[in-house]
Amino acid sequence: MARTRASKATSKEKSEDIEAAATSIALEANKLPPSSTTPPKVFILPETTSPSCRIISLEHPRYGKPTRYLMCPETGIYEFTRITSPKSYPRSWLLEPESRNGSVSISKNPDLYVATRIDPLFLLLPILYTKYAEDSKKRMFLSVEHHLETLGEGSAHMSKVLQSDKIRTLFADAMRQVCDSVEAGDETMYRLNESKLLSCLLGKARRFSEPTLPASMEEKFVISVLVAPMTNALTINGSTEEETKKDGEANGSSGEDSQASASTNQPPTNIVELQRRKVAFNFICSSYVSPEIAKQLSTMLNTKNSEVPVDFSPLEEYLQKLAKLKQEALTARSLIDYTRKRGLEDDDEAAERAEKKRKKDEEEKRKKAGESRGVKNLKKVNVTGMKKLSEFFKKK
Amino acid sequence: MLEARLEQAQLLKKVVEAIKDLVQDCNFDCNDSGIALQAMDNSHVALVSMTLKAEGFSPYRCDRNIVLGVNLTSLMKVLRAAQNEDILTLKAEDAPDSLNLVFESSSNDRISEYDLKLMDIDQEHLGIPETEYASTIAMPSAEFRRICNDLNAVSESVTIEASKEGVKFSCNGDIGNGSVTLRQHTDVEKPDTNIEIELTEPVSLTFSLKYLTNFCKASGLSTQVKICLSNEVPLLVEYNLSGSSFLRFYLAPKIGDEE
Repeated sequence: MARTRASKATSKEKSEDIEAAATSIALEANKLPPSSTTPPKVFILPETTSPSCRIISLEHPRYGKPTRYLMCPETGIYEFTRITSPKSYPRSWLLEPESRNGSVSISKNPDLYVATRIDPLFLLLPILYTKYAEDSKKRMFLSVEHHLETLGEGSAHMSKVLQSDKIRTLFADAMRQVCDSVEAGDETMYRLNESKLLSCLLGKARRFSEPTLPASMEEKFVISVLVAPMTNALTINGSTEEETKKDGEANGSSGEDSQASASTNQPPTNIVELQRRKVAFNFICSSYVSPEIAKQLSTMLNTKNSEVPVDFSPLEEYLQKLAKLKQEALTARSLIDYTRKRGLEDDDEAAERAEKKRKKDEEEKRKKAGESRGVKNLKKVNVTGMKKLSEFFKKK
Repeated sequence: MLEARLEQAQLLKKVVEAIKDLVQDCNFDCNDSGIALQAMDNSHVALVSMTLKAEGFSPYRCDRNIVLGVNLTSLMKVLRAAQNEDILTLKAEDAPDSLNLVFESSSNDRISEYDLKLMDIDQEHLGIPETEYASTIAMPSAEFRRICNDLNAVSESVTIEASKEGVKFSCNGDIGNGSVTLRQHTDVEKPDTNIEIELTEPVSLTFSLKYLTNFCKASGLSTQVKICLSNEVPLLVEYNLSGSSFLRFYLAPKIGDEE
């Protein structure tokens, strides 16, 4: 990877004929005055890109907003990921000029943009899906050229991109992956097939999640989600041990069951894998796929269907079981809390009770204040043998 | 909205004075025919029912039914600020938060104005049928008050017996016993002192004196009081106010276990 600098285009015209990454941009950066309003930005670009690659604006496949991509007519399309430093830990860039006569500059902005390859499939999806969704009954089969023409209609940049034959091939390949095709004369026509799309995305999710997800994701979405509540595991061990033994004598399989539930602290490996894959799939869907397609895909995934290549039902069952255990653990804990109410939370509780008592007293006082002496005296009157008036007069 | 002008503040003052020792909070129901009130004491053995007819006010205006939930002690505090002869005007919005009271002194040009906060009171309303009582006794209210007070000193409860001979209030207490008997009496010159006893059948009922003395606080409202009795039925003590307005008290009789 070559580390290069590029100045970010501020105006639209500029972005249109923006100069290719490496050298030319470095030169531009050299021309900038010391405190520039358009400070240089740091990019990491793939080494394999040809000199004719460009930064272009395309519609984001999920959000539909113009987003910058790196397009190389030889190798494909790359997306930018901004890596930034937390505010609490400020950083800056010290930039060395590429050529000798340039000057060293410092960039206050700690952002780093990394260009990584994006599957053209994602850019293609909105077009394929729209064509499909517009009239789902009709299910139009269209040629690659037709599809790409529609893709190019939306944006000038895209239509330029599509002038490259290599890029067109990439798009066509992506189309073949997720579409049904028919031969019409000497042309092949394509139409989106959701099942194919689903298995394609699940394949991506599998590659993404093997052997593990990135550490932070693994921790937050896999380990913490699947871990069984500690206290509960203990109570299960303690209270059901005898039952387990009895059951075990009576029925071998049930013993195995309770064994499994007792050791829920460590989720089974296949469950972990499924969870990883699910997280990865959801990540892909929520980053690159428009909400409506994502919704349709997740419903397809949830309905039991032989066409779905991965069966998430063991994971679902496990999660349900886990939710139940957690609920139990919560009740168990609230019980524990109850017994030590006076021990641990004495101060809080006491304060709360005092507050309640004070309020009650206040209310009573107010009530008493509104009570005349006569009413007070009447309370002391012996009313034995006197029926209530409601027994003589009917309620209205 | 409600707007009711009362020539003499003392009417309302005395009404509230009379019932505030029986009831703590109550609703004044205002509609186009006037202002009415019905409430029971805490033990639900006594009931007060008051109607101030629209004719008693000048002018009276109430387009919509308005319920004024009032704490009587608070209302009394405000009413004490009024002289007996003051002109009293009650005002309230539709669905009001407060009741506006204006006292105008007729002799000098003093105007005082008070806003009383209202409250939501959950009250059950009893339907009281028109009853033909076996015995109706009309007597000076001061006389009735005196009897109640005197007997209250001896006992907790009084037995009222109405017969052809007259009406006998008798009581039996720890220190001894006592009774007061009244006969029919007519004085043309002083009709206020008349005692009239109407009787269809003899009646004998026992009542709590504490409650009766409480009712007697309304004596100032009317020179005459009407006492209606029937066996096994609540006693009615009625004070007529100006016009057809009235203040009525009902009290459940003591039945069975005499102490």
